[in-house]
Amino acid sequence: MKVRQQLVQFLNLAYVLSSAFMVWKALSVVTNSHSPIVVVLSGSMEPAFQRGDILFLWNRDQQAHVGDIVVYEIQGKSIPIVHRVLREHHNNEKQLLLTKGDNNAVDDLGLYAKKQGYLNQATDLVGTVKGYLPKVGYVTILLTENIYFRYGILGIMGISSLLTQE
Amino acid sequence: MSALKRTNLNSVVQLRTTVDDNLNTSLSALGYNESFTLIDTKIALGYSTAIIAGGLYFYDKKYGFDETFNLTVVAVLAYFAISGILWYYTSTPQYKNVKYVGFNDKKEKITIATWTSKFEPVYYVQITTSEGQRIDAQFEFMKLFDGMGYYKEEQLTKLIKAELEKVNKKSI
Repeated sequence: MKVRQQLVQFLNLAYVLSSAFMVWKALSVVTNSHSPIVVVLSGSMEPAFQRGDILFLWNRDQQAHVGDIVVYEIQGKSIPIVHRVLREHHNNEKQLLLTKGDNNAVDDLGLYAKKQGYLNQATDLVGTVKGYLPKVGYVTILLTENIYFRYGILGIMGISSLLTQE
Repeated sequence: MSALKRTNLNSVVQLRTTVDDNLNTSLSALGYNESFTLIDTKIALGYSTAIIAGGLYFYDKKYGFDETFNLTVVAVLAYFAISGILWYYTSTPQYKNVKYVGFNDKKEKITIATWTSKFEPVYYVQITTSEGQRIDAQFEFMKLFDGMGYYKEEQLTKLIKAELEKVNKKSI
């Protein structure tokens, strides 16, 4: 019957979106990080990371070590920052971190929220960098920053969806 | 239904889709009633995965990752469990490519699986009867469509009927 065909067609579309989303969520659960894969947006960690590198994060470490590269988020600012741990202080309950970008002249005190002097390892971190792929993520930078690229890709996707079957 | 619709003769996929869509007509001419149990099961399973994913998306958007962590674990497990069951009904040999399930008046079941290969204008059909007999047949699309791309329904009916009769003779 026609209704079933329509339902199946819509389901195929929904499956493309839902499977990608659920794989992402599964990865989040495994790594305990709300974004287990991030793209480097700034040059503040050069020469270690360039803009467009893809980083794989892990957020189940008990403690960070000096020299680890961590991704953190400041409350109220939703942009994750990738910087290196410069100093750490810890006792049995918690660990406090000070970070700095390799390519920055000063540490991150100025980037933290008002009156915040440190990062809390347990709550502020998105994850610790465990691996990376160079350059691959540059596509997302192009998509967000270059309007011609964005509409070009949209156009190509539209045309290809018109021309392909199955 | 598709009596007035032309099919693109250059696309194997479109030819197959047209014939698949019209299997029901041919089989009801042969005295079979389509059973929707399998397809309905698949649709229900598929939509429950979509609902889980959609619900998780909104819940996560509203409350954030940390607060919804336990729910996310449950949703992820449920999603992949249901997807596994769905995969069983779509991809294991017993159910793969099944396009039609029907019963005749004597409650005899017939299952038809169809597929094509990419560069061959041939419609592969596998018919399984309730006695577990399996008929493999190949119909050329040339016989099922005219030169303009109009589908010839009665041709498929004839071909399937011929295949079924072969089996019935054997079994007698």
